[in-house]
Amino acid sequence: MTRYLAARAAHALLLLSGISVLSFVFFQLAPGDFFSDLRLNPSISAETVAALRAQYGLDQPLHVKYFRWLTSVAQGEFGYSFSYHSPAAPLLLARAHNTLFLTIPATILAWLLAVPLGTWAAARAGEWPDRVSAAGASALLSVPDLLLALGVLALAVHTGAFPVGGMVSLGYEQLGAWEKVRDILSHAFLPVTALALTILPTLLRHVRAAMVEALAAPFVKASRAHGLPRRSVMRHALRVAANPLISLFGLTLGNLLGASLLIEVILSWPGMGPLLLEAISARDFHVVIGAVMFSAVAFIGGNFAADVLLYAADPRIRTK
Amino acid sequence: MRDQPHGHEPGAEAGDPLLCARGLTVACVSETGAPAPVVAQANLDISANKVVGLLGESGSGKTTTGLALLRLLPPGMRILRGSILFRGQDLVGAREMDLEKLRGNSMAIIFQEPGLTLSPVARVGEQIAEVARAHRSWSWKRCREESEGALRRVQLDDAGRFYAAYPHQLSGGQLQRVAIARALVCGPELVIADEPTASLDPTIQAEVLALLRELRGQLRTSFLFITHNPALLWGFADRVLVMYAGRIVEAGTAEQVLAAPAHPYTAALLACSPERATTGTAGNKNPLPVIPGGLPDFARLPGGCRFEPRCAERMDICVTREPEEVAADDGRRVRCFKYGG
Amino acid sequence: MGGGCGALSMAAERLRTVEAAPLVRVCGLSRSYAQQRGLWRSSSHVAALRDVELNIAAGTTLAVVGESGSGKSTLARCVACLEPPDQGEIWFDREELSKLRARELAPWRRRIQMIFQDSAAALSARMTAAAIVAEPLAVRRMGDRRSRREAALRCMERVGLTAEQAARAPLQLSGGQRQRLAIARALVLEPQFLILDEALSGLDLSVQAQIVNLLLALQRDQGLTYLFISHDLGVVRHVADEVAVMSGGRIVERAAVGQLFQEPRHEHTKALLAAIPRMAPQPAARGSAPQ
Repeated sequence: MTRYLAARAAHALLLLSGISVLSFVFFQLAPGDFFSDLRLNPSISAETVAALRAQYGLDQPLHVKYFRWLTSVAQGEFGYSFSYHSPAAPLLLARAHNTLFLTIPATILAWLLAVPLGTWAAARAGEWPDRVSAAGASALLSVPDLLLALGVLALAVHTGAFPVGGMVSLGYEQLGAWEKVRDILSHAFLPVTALALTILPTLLRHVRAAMVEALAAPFVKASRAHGLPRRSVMRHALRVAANPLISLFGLTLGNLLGASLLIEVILSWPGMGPLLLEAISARDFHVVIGAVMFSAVAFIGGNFAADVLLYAADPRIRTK
Repeated sequence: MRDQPHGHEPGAEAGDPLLCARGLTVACVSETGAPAPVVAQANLDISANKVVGLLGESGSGKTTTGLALLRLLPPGMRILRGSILFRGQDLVGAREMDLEKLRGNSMAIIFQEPGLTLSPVARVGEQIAEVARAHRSWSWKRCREESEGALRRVQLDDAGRFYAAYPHQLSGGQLQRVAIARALVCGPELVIADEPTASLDPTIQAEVLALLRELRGQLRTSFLFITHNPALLWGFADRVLVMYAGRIVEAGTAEQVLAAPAHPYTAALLACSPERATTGTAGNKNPLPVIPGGLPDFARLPGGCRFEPRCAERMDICVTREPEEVAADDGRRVRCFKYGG
Repeated sequence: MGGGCGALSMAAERLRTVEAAPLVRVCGLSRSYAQQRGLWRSSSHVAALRDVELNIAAGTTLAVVGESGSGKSTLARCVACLEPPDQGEIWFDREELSKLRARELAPWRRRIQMIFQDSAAALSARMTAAAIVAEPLAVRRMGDRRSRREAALRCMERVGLTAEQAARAPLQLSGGQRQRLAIARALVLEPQFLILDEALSGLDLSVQAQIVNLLLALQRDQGLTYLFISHDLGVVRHVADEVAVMSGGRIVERAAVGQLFQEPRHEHTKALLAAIPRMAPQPAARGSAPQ
C-alpha cells in the first residue's frame, strides 16, 4: 500500500514540475512582461523601465526565474504579484476559496439532479421521459455558457429579486452574523444555478448511457426472472453503472477550480476566474503560474480520489 | 385424423398437471409486416415432481417456449394465442404484479451462462438472500440463513465463504451451482433449466447434472430441462418433447422418444449424436449420419410440414399441408402424416 | 517419442529423412503469462504450457483434449505462430518457426491456417461472405479481382455454401454456416495444416455432424493435416487418429484414438471419458407406431 501511494505521489510531483516548467516556457514565449505597458507612456524613460525590470528580476534568464519561483513556493509564498504588491499565495488562496464556494454546491446540485433524472430516463428509454430529458439536455448543452450567464444576469436585473453580481453587498461589514450569511447566499444563488445548468447536461447524458448499458445486462433480466421488485433491480443496475460514473466524478472534481471562470467574470464573483483574467492581461506571471498549479493539483487530486473510490466501490478491482 | 382431446395424458400423474399450456403461439412482432411465429401451437404438460425434457436445436423455439412460460419474453416478442395455466391460474392474462409474485417463488429459471446472470458487484450469497427477501416476510438474518442453506444444498459446503464471494472469484461450475441455489431458495414447484450445462466443461457438466438428479430426488420440484443434447435427458427426464422450427413434433415418455423415436426428425437427430454413431472401433473416421440441409428460413416458410424438405420419409401430402398433433396408442403424440393427422 | 530437440535435432533430422517426417513437431514448448493482481500487488506468473511435445504426421488428425485452463488454446496460438513461446521449438516441414520474425513467417502462414470457436467474432461483421473468403488473397495481392472472387466462390461451394449466402453478412448466417465460412476462408490459400480451436463447440448436433463430415471429406480429398482442439471426447472419437490429453499445461497422456478409448491410463483421461453423457447403447427397433 505504501509503495503504491509513494509511486502515485512521485508521479504527481513529476507531473506538477513538468506543468510548471511548461507554463514558464509558454509565458516566456508570449511577448512582453509586466512593465511593457509602461513603455507606452512617453514620460517614463527606457532606463527607468529597465531598472524596474532588474529590480524585480524580470531580466534574468528563464532558469533563474524558475528557481526563484521554486524557492518562493517552498517558502509558501508562490511568488510575488506585481499588480497587488503582495505574495501570490494568500491572493490565490482567498480567490480559490471563493470559487469553491460556487463550484462545490453547483457540482453537488448537478449530480443530485443528474443521477435520478438519468436513471429515470434510462428506465424509460425511448418513452417520453427519456425524450424530454434528452431534448432538455441538448438544449442546455447548445446554449453557450456566456449566453446562460448573461441570461441569468438579465433575470437579476429585471426581476430585482436577486443582487446583480458581486459576492457581498455594500455595507456587508455592518451586518449581523445571520444577515451576512443570507447576503452571501443571495449573491451566490444565481451563479450557482447558472453553473449547475452548465454542468448538468453532460452528466445527465453520461448517467443515462451508463444506466442503459447496465439495464441491458443479462443479470437484470435474471433479476426480473426471480421476481425481484423494480427498485432492487434498479439498485443493482446503479451499482454496476457506478464504475464509469466514478471516473466521471473524478473529472468533475478536477474541474472544480476551472469550470466557473466565465460565470465569475460576468457576474463579478471574486473568484479565481477574474483574478486569472486580470493577471494574464497584466502579465502578472507569478499569479498566472500559481493559478495553473492550483488547477493542476485539483485535477491530480480528483483523479486520485476517483481511483480510490473505484477501488472501494468495485469488488472486481479490489479483490483481484 | 385422430385428434384426441388433450385433457388427460397417459403417462402423466392423475389429477391436474402443475403446468398446462395449450395452443401456445409466440411471435416476433415488428411495426411493419405480419408477426412471424417463433413457436406455434405448442401443447405442454408438466406434472408435479416430474422432469420434462424439451429437446431441440437452435431455432427450434425451445428457449422462447421456456421464457414464454414465465412471461419473460424479450421486447420484440409476444404471446399471440394460447393459454398457460399454472396450478389452475392463468398466466397469459395475468398482471405483471402477480407474475412477479410467482417468479423466483413458485416458478424459477436457470439460464445458460451463470456468470452473466449475477450482478458482478454484489456478493453471491446476498443475491440469493434477496430472492428470499422479495418473496417471504423474513428478517434479513433468516434470509441469510436460508441462502447459506441453499448453498449447502448445492454442495457448496463452505457456505460462509461462498456467501461472501463475488462472481468473478468463482469458477463456471460454482457459479452454476449458485444459480441453482438462487432458483431453489424459495422452494419452487417448477424449475425451468435452459441449457444449464452448455457453457461448462465436460467434467463440470457431469457434476452439475449429477447434482440436478440428486436434487430432483430430494425435493418435490418439477423440472423443464431445455437442451439440444438428447444424451443429457437419458435417465433424468420422465417425459421428452421434441421441437423443430417452432413446433412440438413429438411428445412421449423418455424411453419412447429416446429409444424408439416415432418422428423422422427425432430419429435423424438421435442418429447424428456422436455417442450413438459409434460404428465399430473409434478412429475409422466414417462419416456421421446427417440431416441434410438446414433450418427453414422463417421469412419464407414452406406451405406444408416444416421438416419436409429434409425428411427421408416424405410423402406427397407433406408438401401441401401441415400435420396436426396425433395421439398414438402408447400415449405419445406425434405431429407427422405417417401416423395420421 | 521423437528424438530430443536442440542440438540433437539436426542429426535426428538427417536420420529421419529416410522415413516420413512428421509435418508438425513441437518440442519442449513452454509459455507463461503474467497476471496483474490489484493496483499495487506485484504480478504473478501463470504457466499455461509446460514442456509440451507433439508430433503430427501429414494427412492425419491429432486431437488435443482438455478442460478450460489446461492450456490447449495457448498451444493452438503458439503452433499457429500467433504468440511466441517462452521456450521450445515449433517445427513445420523441417523449418523451425518460433524464432522467425514476422516478415519471414509470411510464406509459412499460408500453409498454416486457424479456425476459431466463435466465428461471429472472428469474421468481420461488415463484409459479405464472399469478400471475407477472398480477403486473404486480396491481402497478398494474388490475382486480380475476378479471379479472387472465383476462387472464393469455389471454396464456398466446396464447403457447402450457396451463391445466395455468398452475398450475406456473417451475422445473417446461422452458426453452422458461419463455421463453414471460416473453413472456406482458411482453405482459399490452399494450406496444408489446419488448427481448429474448439471449432465445433457450441454447434447443434446435426450441424456438428455435417461439419465433421465436411472436415473428413476435405482431409481425404486434399490430404490436410488437422490439429483438433476440443473438450468433447465424443466428437474426437470420430475425427482423430491420435489423441493427446492436456491438464495443467502438460500433456498427461498421448495415444492412438482407439487405444485411448479402450484403455485409458491417466486419471484425467478416465475422468474425461466418464464425463461423456451416455445414451442407451443400441437404439431399440422402431415400434409402438399407432394404427
